[in-house]
Amino acid sequence: MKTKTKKKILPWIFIAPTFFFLGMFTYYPAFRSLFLSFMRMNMATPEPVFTGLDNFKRAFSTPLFWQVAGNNLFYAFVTVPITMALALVLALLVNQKIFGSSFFKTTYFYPNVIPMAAASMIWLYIFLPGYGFLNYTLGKIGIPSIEWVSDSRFAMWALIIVAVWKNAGYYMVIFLGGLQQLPTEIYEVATIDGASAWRKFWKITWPLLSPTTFFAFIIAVINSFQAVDQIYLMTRGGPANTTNMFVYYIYQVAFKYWDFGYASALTVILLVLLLIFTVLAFFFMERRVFYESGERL
Amino acid sequence: MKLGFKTFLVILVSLVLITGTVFSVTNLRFFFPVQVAGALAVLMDGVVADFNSEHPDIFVEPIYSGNYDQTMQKAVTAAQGKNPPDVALLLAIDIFSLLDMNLIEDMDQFLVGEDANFTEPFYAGFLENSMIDGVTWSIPFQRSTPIFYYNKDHFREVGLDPENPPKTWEELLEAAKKLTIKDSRGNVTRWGFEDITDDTWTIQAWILQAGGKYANETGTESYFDTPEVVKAVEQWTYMTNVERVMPRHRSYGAASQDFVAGAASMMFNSTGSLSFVKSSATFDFGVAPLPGEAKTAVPTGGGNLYIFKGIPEENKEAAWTFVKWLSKPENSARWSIGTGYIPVRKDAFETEALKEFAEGFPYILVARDQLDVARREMAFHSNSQIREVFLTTLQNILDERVPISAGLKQLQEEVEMILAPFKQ
Repeated sequence: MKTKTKKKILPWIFIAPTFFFLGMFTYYPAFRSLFLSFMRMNMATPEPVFTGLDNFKRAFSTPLFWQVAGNNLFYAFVTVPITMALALVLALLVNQKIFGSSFFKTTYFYPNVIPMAAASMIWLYIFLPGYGFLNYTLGKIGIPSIEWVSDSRFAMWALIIVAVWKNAGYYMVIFLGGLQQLPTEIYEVATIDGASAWRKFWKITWPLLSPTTFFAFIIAVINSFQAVDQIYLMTRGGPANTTNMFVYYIYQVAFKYWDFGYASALTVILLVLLLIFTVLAFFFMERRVFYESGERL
Repeated sequence: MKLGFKTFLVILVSLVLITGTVFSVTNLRFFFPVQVAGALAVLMDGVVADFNSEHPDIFVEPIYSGNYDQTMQKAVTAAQGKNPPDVALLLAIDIFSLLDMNLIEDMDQFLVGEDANFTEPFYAGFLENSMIDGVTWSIPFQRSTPIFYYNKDHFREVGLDPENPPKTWEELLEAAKKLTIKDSRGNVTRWGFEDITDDTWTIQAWILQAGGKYANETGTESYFDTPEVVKAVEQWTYMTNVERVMPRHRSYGAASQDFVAGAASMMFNSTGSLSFVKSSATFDFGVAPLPGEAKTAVPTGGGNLYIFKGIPEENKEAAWTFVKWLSKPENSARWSIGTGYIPVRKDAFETEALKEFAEGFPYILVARDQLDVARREMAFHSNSQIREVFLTTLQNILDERVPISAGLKQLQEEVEMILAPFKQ
């Protein structure tokens, strides 16, 4: 009897610390946001007042909300494919048994180790108009100086460049993990059958790698909706909100405008959006993914 | 021997603690921002240490809290968590936000008796942002104004008088045209003039000079669709998009970088950039009051000292003692010498330290003389949000995505909506 109780309690004790911190810092704030999203709580109304769905209605009728959503979608649709394609190419390259491949692995992964804040500062210098490295180099080939972070036509692209540079190495490592699990016999057979490298890639590597690709895709999309530090440091959402994205917008509304009700509603919208995306992605993409047994699920 | 030392330590610490409770030292937490990290935080630590040694019954803990925005965020969230700082150095224009959230004590309760005339020596332009309906809510501390910088070597090069900088918009434009250099393909290689177009501060100078205004005293009315504001923004766009003698986008840092690199010949920038320009410019440069139009005027800027609500009574008194001490003429002068900010009170200029400093750094006297025409900085309820929509409008206009009058009209409507809940 005693040991039975002990068996029941012991696991709880073990998970208690994690559970406590998760509860404190994840679940409580999440539920608090959900609660506040139905309240008006801002500088004109410091004590929360229940307003039903007003905050959500306000979001959907605010042009800036749609601009932010559009910016974020654009950012995701550009960064995710470029980052993943680049990561896959890098992974295929360093996966070959050539001299110094671990050196290249380290080099490509390195940007991911640098904190985003530091990386943003480095890139701000590279992007400097006139004498920054990028403009200096472009100037050498006759392209006039571009004000990367303060010109509304280029600011988004500046952020995209930094994101791709920063994340490609991370997804390279994920792809590399996937590549190294692939069975070598199939490749040997294909070589004997005289398949070209191109054909081997499309007929063997790509389909067999699909669980990894799928995983990387989900992570990359979610990541691109969490972009905030580079925005804060490089563009502050400007010029004229052309680089304002969800998390930065929420930050602005909550901690610069002190409008907690509306900010909470935005948080809930983002959360629901990401949830829908994940569910849809699993639902549609799982059918096209090969798992290890080779069966089409 | 070893044990003896430990026991000695324990006794010492206990003694300190006991005497501490007996003499009841009041502990104060002071949040302050630093725009350019490092040196200023060290300077502030030194200033506060001096206060602490002069006041054995008060202990102030200086807490460096990031830039102005971050310090505001920390102070507000701390106060909402029922753990407010006692004193905080925050933007003068955050006054309405702090009042709306009911976070600050009024200063009038301290401005009685021997301190009744305490604010008398302060510059009126700086005090304007502290007062609403005759009540004082903050004490100016670290303040600035925009000022005009020009490269004297460039002036000589194009035949302008280096001792006679532009005094009107017209003269400024003519000088900028002469100073701008374009290459054979029309790309600008040197800007005649740069203004801070990615903030909403220096445009306030243009609006004031055009004879206009942006906000009423109680922060509930805006005037963005008035002819004077339109005129100010038109002048900006004319210089950027028609004459192309001024770039469309510049921050404070980028403009001063361009100026010291010789890539810009004239600029409006904060007096806060004086030290940087002085230490980095390798040429002969001059500083002058901003040119005028219908009149000469500049907005003020920078941070004031606030005392927070929700602290014990004795902390309030101690906080006032600290604020009063920080504002003494000698300390105002000391802070100014260390940072380049303008002293906030007239009598600071009579201190020996500042007189001596001004000999090597005469620009600070130009900044001082301009204070006669310094006016209240733009401040509203929901100020950050209004600044943001104002900036967005300005950038859209400069980038030619929105026509001037339509953009400003829409801005006015948007701001009226934001201000509506504060109007009762």
